[in-house]
Amino acid sequence: MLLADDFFLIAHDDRDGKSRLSQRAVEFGLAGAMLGELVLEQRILVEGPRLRVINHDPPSDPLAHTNLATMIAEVQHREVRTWLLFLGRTAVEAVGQRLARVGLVEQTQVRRLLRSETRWLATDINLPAGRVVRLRRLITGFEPMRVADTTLAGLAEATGLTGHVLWERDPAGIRRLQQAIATLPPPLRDLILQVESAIGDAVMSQRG
Amino acid sequence: MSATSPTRPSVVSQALARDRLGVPSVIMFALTAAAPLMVVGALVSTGWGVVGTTGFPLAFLIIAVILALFSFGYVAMSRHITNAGAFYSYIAQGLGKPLGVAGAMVALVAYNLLQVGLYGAFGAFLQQFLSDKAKVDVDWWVLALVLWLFVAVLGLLRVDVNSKVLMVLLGAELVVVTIFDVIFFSHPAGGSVSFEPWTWGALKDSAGPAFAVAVTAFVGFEAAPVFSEEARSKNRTVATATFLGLAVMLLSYALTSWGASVSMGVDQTVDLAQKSLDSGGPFFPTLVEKGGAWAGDVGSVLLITSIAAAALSYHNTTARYAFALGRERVLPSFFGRTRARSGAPASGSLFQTIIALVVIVLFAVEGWNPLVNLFFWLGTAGGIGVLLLVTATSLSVIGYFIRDARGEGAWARLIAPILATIALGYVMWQVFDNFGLLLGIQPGQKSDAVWAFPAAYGVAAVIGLVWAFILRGINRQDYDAIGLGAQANTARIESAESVEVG
Repeated sequence: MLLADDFFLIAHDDRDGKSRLSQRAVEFGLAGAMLGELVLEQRILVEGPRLRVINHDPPSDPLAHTNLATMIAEVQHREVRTWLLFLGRTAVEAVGQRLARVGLVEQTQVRRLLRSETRWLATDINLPAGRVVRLRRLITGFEPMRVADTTLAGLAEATGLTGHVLWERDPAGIRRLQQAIATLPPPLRDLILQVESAIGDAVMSQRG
Repeated sequence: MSATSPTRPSVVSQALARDRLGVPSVIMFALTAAAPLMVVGALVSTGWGVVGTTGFPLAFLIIAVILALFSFGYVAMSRHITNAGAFYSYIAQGLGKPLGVAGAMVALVAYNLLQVGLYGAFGAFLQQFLSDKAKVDVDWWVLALVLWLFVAVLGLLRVDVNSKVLMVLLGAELVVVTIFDVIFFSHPAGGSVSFEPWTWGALKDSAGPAFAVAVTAFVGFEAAPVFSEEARSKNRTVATATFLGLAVMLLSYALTSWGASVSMGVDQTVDLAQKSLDSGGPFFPTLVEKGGAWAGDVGSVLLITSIAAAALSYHNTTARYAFALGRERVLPSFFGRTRARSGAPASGSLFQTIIALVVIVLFAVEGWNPLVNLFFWLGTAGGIGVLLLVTATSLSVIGYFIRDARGEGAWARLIAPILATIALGYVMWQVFDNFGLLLGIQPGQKSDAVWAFPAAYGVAAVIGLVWAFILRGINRQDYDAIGLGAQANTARIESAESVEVG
């Protein structure tokens, strides 16, 4: 499963589709996951706070393709933070649409007090629950973690989702996870750190 | 057509620009720190009696000028550093990390004191209001606990009082205060407006304590640089918001405190205030006498709501401070985590909530006075902590730019900070030399409170210094990340890598 799809399913409640994270955190998490897909596909590199396009070949996924094309066109923007903000603006919609195209989620409108809100509900309730269980087994060391898994777990940790995934905070699990993040290839590790900083700064400036 | 053509509009820049904060939003935010009714109706009204002077208008003017002088360097430095929302970051990046941690500890104490003090004022003023209007007698601490619960819950849900709500409250407050000013100045005692509150003669014997009150009143002026990253024009927006905030505060505080004492008689003010210390001072009684009952009611309601809003806002500030320090691992790292659903800095919020509860319960059990002891003593003690931080930050600005001017002019990076530091040093000397007067303790009278507050800051600073040196010994990466706030994580990795390489 693609990184952002997986993150999307874990970050939303499997029953009512409500976000388990604050708006900013879910946006930065999904944007980070979309950048992560491009890193895993070896199209871009993240180096500290900046990124670099290393391969112009369009990825097979249309969303990743669009993201890469925008990045190639906007040569003046190479700050990871800028892309987290930019991709984050439309991330929920974009990834939700991508999941809807393959029939994994459905779009619904929920009436709120004064406005209506778009939610994405899993067509099979077992799917998101299964992704959460899988991530839990990875973090708790039941299954070996591949690079993409560690990236997903790292994004979950950076956005504050691990509290939900793990039920109770397991210090040994968290330590193992942090160890695993630290030994990720630097582009993925730096990406996770950038997501974590972006969310921290949003807390400090009281936005989102 | 070349893809790098500079005239091509950038989709990314345009999209992000729409999300950025314009001058009005940042100004709105900076202005919400102004609380004229709370400052004059509660702080100064108590201060007349405790400190025994009417010279507050001049004190406000002097402190505003000094803070404006300080702000040139402060705003200039905020453009260059990370975590520009917290004083200790300036200190860590300008004077070194050990002093930065010391500053962080002082800040934690100061903002907690400022927050907790508000519960006293809220409880006492609401108690009076309820017994006047509804003939219900409720103890002040019961009401304080209601506000405490409200703040605790909203803090965890991460409800920041919406800046538009704050703006409406402040707008209402400014309009009402202007009307009060008209009432006061059109009913001067003895038929003529006295300029005595503006003279050094009125202030000089109590200059230290009056300065402390004035600094407390201006707390919040430092908030705008939080947005330096999010503002549309980094250079202009933050500076404009900071200076305008100071100007509005000065104007409303000085005029109203002057008008009120003119109306009750400048020579009567201190006497009246000392007789009504337990009921919040003579501000509201005078208002009712000269303007009618409606003026007192409107003023009281706005006072109580603005205290509640301020309590929540200081609570969130304290929680965010603890969050940043948790991210830096200066405090345990769980402080650096957020509550998933709300994104609130949960541990910091709970920590502040517990401190507030302990203090409220202590004051209730001991039967100490909610206005004089809780609100005025703790509040101004918090203000003094901010004064310490401002002074240290002013020194940091000089230290920071002395190594590298970074394109800033001599006035902002050197001259103004030097003048500000000298002036702040003088203010600090006045405050600490006359600390007993601030608490209303006559010379010769003994009280532990006189040394307890300064000692608390001393202890906090020493703990911070020692902790910084311990951190340097046990974990160099954590030490290197001090002062970087939410970006500490990346600095730690860089520092770890430089060790591996070197």
